[in-house]
Amino acid sequence: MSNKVWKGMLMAALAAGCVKAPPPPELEEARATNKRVSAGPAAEQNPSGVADAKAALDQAEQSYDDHVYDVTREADYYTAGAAYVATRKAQVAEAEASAALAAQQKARLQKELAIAQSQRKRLRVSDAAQALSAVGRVTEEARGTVLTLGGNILFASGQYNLREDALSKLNVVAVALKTMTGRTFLVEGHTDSTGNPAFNQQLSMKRAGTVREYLISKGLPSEQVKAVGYGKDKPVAPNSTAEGRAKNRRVEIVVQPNPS
Amino acid sequence: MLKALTTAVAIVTLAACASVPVAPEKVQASEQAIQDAQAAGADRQPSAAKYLELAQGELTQGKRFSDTGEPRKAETMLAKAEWDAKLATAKAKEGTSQAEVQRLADELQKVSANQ
Repeated sequence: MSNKVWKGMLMAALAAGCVKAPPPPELEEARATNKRVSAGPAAEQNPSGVADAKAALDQAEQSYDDHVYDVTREADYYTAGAAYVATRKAQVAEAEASAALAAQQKARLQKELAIAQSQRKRLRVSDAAQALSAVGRVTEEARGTVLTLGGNILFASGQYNLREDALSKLNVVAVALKTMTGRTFLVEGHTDSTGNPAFNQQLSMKRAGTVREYLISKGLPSEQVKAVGYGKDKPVAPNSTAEGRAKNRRVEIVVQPNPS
Repeated sequence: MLKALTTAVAIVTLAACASVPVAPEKVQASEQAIQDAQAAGADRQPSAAKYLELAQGELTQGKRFSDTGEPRKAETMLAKAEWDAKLATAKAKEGTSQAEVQRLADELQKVSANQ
């Protein structure tokens, strides 16, 4: 039998209403996509989008049913178009749901990241304090974290050039301070009360300046390191004993607290 | 009788064939959807760009159908254009959010590894 005859028979059968024309591939795709999307996370995340997509599919199904015996190309075209739109609506609902989930995940990650960052910062600061305590005495005071270095560790009597073995200690200090980004450091020079007060004042200022210069040479930003000399004005022990005077001859490095 | 019927059919056919322009808001809706997709960066993300391209082609075709007096085909084509463009927008936004999640996850991993 020729192709033409077959076609004629099919047309006749369709006209008689006993054979349903196969759905256009667009409708089959719309059905499958709708099914997938309604079963996915979009059902919970984006119910209105899923409902819109379902309504569009129903419309395409209706068009298919209405024109099921009508094989004119115009009607097929319309059904296929409606099904195409139904597929897209389902995909849009799906993509929107996935974007909403990503946004939720993003908020969660931002929170976790903030916690991890502050933990790391705290850890870094305590690491630095620990490193400093190997070099001198570290105390927590209202003015900040204070590192006290005995004067005769750093300088020979009456001198303001750093002793050879002071360098390795100040290297440790520089490394630790560099981890404290954004802080300001104040280097204070102090003397005992022996001798000329004006000379002591000058000496303490020069010693603080020397330490400051050395720390900057090791990479600390110059605008973050300040130096000041107090002479004999701020003793930490009585000057009446040799032991007390030794305690008063010192350099203090104050890690000033964050303004925040 | 037959003549009257033939005339009636002829009139109906003529009416159907007469160039009925497609509603301008349907064209506008598609054009707007395409602009939105471009604004969302759909042309820079492969998963979205293909739908934007489809939409642009369909808009052209839809306008052509409208010009040649096929409003129904024009409307169908314009609806396809509108929803291809909307999918391009949704895919672009999805891609942007997912990239952001990936960036944060990487950063979190880096911060945690350094502890």
